[in-house]
Amino acid sequence: MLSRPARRAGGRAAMYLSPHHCADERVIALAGNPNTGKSTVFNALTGLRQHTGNWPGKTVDLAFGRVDLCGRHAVVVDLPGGYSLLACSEDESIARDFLCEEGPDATVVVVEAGCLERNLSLVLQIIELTPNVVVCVNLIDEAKRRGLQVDDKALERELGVPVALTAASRGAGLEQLKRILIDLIDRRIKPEPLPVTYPADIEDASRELESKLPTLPPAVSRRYVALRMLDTDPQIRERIVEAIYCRAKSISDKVVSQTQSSVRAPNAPTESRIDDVLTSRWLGLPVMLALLGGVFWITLVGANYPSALLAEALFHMESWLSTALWAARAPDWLHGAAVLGAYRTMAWVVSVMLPPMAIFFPLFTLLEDLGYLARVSFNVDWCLKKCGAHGKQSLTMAMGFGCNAAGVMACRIIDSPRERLVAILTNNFAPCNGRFPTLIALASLIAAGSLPASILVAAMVLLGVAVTLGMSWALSRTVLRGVPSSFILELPPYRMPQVAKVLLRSLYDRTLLVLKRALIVAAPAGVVVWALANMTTPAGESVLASIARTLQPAAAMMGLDGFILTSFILGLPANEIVLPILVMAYSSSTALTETAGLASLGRILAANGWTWLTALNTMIFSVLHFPCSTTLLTIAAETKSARWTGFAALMPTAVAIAACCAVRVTARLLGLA
Amino acid sequence: MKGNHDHEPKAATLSDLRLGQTGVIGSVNATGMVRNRLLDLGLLHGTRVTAVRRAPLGDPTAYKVRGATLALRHEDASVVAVTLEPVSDPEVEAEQC
Repeated sequence: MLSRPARRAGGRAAMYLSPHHCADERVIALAGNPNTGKSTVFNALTGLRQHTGNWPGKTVDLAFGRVDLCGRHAVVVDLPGGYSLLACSEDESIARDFLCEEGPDATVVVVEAGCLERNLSLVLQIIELTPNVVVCVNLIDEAKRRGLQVDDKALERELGVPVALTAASRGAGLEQLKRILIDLIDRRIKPEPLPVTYPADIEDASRELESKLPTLPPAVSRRYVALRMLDTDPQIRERIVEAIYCRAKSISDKVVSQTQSSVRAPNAPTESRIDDVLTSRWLGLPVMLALLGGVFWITLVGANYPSALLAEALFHMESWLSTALWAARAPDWLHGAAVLGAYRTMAWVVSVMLPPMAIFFPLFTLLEDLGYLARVSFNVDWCLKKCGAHGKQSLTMAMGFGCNAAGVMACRIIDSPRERLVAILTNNFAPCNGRFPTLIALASLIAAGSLPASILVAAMVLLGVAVTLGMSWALSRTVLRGVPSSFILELPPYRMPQVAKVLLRSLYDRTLLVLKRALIVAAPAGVVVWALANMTTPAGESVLASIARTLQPAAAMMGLDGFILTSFILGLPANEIVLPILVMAYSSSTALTETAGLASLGRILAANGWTWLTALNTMIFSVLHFPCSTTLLTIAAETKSARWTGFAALMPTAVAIAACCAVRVTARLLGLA
Repeated sequence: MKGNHDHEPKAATLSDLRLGQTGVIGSVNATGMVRNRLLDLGLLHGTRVTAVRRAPLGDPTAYKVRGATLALRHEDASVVAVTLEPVSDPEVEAEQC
């Protein structure tokens, strides 16, 4: 029973560690419940900008970082957040397997000071497994505001392992945590954990079983293995969990005290008043839509100016580059491929795509850090249930808004294979960060004014959500028949996000990401498009024009044109290059020289016969069409099935084609276009 | 959705709790994964659970359990048998964690 997952994980963990880890380097594991600020502790220790989130199950894979412990380096492994080591979901078994197989030199268990009892159940399970544990009681500032105080010395006595009190977001207590870690790694302190004592019959059976076990790897505790073999019996399992919680409660009762001043937990009523509005029967959903619209409005308004500025600067640079190349007597094809192809596509990606991403992403992150996304999940869960989808699909969808590949990977938090597949196959309908700028740019072309434009973008997102629900419903009744399995969502307390930090970090991360992708995806794509636009077929037209002409009849049915469809196909490597490629394709075929920013985008498109209907259909196609190649590769890796990967590409495309045709026909019938 | 709305103590489950009402868990009548998941989160015999809010569309419901707020769908809540306590004063919430 245990050997199978353990062996698999051993391989994985070793695989994970190899590129990061030299043999003599110490390994520190970081474990804890979701929403304990574990990732904040990780970032504070390592200085690495790993994204943190205030929602359950954020870290679905192992993240690594290095910590400097007084001049010595150690690798910190951020394990997925989980409630238990008795392994339920895939991410929880990853954490368990790592602790069992890798035998880290020290393990930090991050617990939330305000909810010690539940968190201690995980601590008690971990100290059963490995003695070198330090308990990091985080968010002590939040607990203090609620009038709770944790006695660290008493907790150390109860658990037999060292304890550090921290408020990681403010950096408080981290020095102490690091000192304890150094002592643990150097074996200057040897904790003697006091794990749970189970009822006598279970203890006896466990001892007997232990003596009969074959030789195990040194890192694996024999008692742990024996207990896990015993708890395959549901009755025994229940008694084991009861014993753990009983101990957790008694410890928590001893070490947590209510301070006199604020017995009535001052911020609890405020929090519940906020939730009364945000999840209320009448206001919950309208407020949610208003917030969504608000985020787009800020993005739209905020992106205009930096976009124009970047465009101007980058196209200035283009003329310098051209001058330099001409001065160096570079051949025409080199100038074309390098400047008109690679550089110009990059410039478009950076100027049109970067500003909206750099604004949207931090806003989204702030809502997430605040704890609002969990409330969104809570509000919309009913719809997911009706569509046969898993409750956590709202979380994977939310991840998809950032990046569909990440969203698909996040589907690992869903235990049931059927619902996980539903979530993977429909994730693409959540328009990712690479598509938002396209939507935003096109919306501002159709709708006059930033408010109508943001409403239009919000409508496109809702279209994506509606299609996600519809397709989940359809899949659950056809190829992936079944009923939704159980689902528990934790609603974390609202937390004031570290606004400045989030803004700076996102700006920096987004900029780096966009620049990197511009370099490795957009530039080569630009060269290809330039080559296609400049190579001629025997008939004398460019290859690009010939492809576009071939696609024209199909495209016209969908209210698009051949060039738009060609751009979507050439944009397979990354959604953010679709619009730049389109502009390139148009300008090369119509010899348009004007190229700068959003304003000229409108003129270029209008010059190529775009109407509001073309723009609308392009937006719809963008939301619904096939996933980018990165996402498809991720789907292939996650499903390990060529058939499902093919389905994941064809199904959205069919939906997109159907939707665009329907819109075009409707517009015709209504006499609108 | 058909809910069992008569509040007879013996037949009651978590899904019968009205908002603000507290129940004491008797047993978790599920098997496999659902059961393990509920147990791991501390929904054990004798645990006090208070229903705190309901989603705008009527489901799921959020419960206060051992200091944490957990949302459960009607189907999952209805496998947890509880003994209902009379609708209580707000002190109960303060007492938990």
